[in-house]
Parts: sequence; C-alpha cells; structure tokens
Amino acid sequence: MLQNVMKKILIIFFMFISTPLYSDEFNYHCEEDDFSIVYKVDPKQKTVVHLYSIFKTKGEVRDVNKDMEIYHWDEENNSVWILQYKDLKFSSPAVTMILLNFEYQKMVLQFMVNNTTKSGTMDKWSDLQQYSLYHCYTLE
Amino acid sequence: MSKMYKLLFVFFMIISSPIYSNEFTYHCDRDDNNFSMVFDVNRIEQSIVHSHSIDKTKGEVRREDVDLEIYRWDEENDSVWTLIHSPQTPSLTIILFNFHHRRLLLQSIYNTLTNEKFKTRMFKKRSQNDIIVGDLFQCYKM
Repeated sequence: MLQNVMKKILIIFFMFISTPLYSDEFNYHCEEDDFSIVYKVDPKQKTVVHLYSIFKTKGEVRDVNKDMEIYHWDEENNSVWILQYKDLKFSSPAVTMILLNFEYQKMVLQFMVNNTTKSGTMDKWSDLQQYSLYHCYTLE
Repeated sequence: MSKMYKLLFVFFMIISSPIYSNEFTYHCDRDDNNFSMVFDVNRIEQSIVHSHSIDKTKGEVRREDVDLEIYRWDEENDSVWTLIHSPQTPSLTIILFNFHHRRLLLQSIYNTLTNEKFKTRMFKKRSQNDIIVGDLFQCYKM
C-alpha cells in the first residue's frame, strides 16, 4: 500500500519537474517587417536552435531546425552572440553575426560577404554588408 | 656561365618577392583616409597581429600588438575572417581580409543597451548606427 503511494508521488514529482514551467527552455520569436525567425533557446545547455523562418507575405512557414554556432553566451548581459559561416558552391562566402539580447527583446543581425571573383572589385560598401534589427518576444 | 648566374639571380629575386612571401605587412587605410591599421600576416602559422593604429587627424601612431582570433582562413580565396570580442564594451567585431582585392572590411555590433547611458536610446531604426559600425579599408602589402 505504502509502496503504491510512494510510486504515485514519484510519478507526480517527475511529471512536475519536467513541465515547461520548470524548464529553462523558451522560444524566441523575432520579427522584421514581413519576415520572422523562431529560435528555441536553452540557457542550461547553452544552445540555440533556429526552428522556423516565416515569410508572411507568402504565408509560408519553413522548417529549419538548425543548431546555431554559439560564439559567446553572455550571462551577465542576458545575451548571446552567434556566428554563421556559409560557403555555398554557387555563391560567395559570407559570415552572419547575430546578437540576441533577451533582456531588451531584440535581435541584431549583420551579414558580410566576400567578393571572391578575381576580376570584381570590393569598392561598394553597400554591396558587401547588410544589417537588420528585429523586435522579439519570448514564449515560455 | 654568367647567363646561369643571371638566371639564378632573377630566380631568387622572384621567390623573395612579396608575391611569394608567406610573411608580410598589410597596411590598410580607411575610406576617409583619416585612420589606418597595420597588420603582420603569417600564412604558414596562419596568424595575424594588429601591430599599429594610425590616427591621422591627431597625428598619433599607437602600438597595438594584438593577436587576432582567426575564424576562417580561406586559402582558396586568399582571404581571412577574424574576430575581436570585447567583453568590457561589450561588442563583437568581424574583420575580413581579402588579400587578392587588397581590401579589409570591418563590422562591429555593440551590445550597448546593457550600459545604463544607452538605455534611453533603445533599439530604434534611426539609432542603429549607435550599435552597428562598419568600415571599408583599402590596403597594400609590404
């Protein structure tokens, strides 16, 4: 009898601690005009997963499910610095630097591209970089 | 015989030229020509040291001696991506060296909202320049 009660208490205890309420994980939803990005953030594991990209004008939600490369988890400032290097076959290599600031619910994204054509020039700054500011909210 | 010597001389001249050198100084002038940076590049060790900063408006040369963190050494495209993380500011800077095109691109994000004095500015479109800085430099090898 006592064993049964103990088992039930244990089950309830494990159910309780595994609820989202006790998990540090949260979804971070960031918007800029007609485009949104959804991340799953785990501060305990120090991981950020890019879950979805949302194209509002097309009404399209794209599954991404990609682990982001964490450069620095800044606990003091409740922020994360992320880097993304892309070197695809038919485009020039590029690096994206992302700052997630959870305290102010913002995301800053900067993109820099390398001109790897031998004949081209690198004189026009606007062709080589891009930046965006996203307003974000947390879904716990 | 003297022809052989001449050929040898020319050969050594070529292999000791900067084109074939694995160590060189990379001098970069900002577009407005008011600021320059000097780097020591070593291709074999895959290292870059920021040796000097030159502020031409003040006529000031500052010795830096800072080893840059290499993010990607892209031999195929004769380029290097480097990083500078400053926890005090706090900020992250990415610097792209393109040795083929003789250019340097620099971009920084400042997480300045965490400083009390910037709190009032917030993240607004018009104040993005407060948190984002970018520059293009023209460079030459020495």
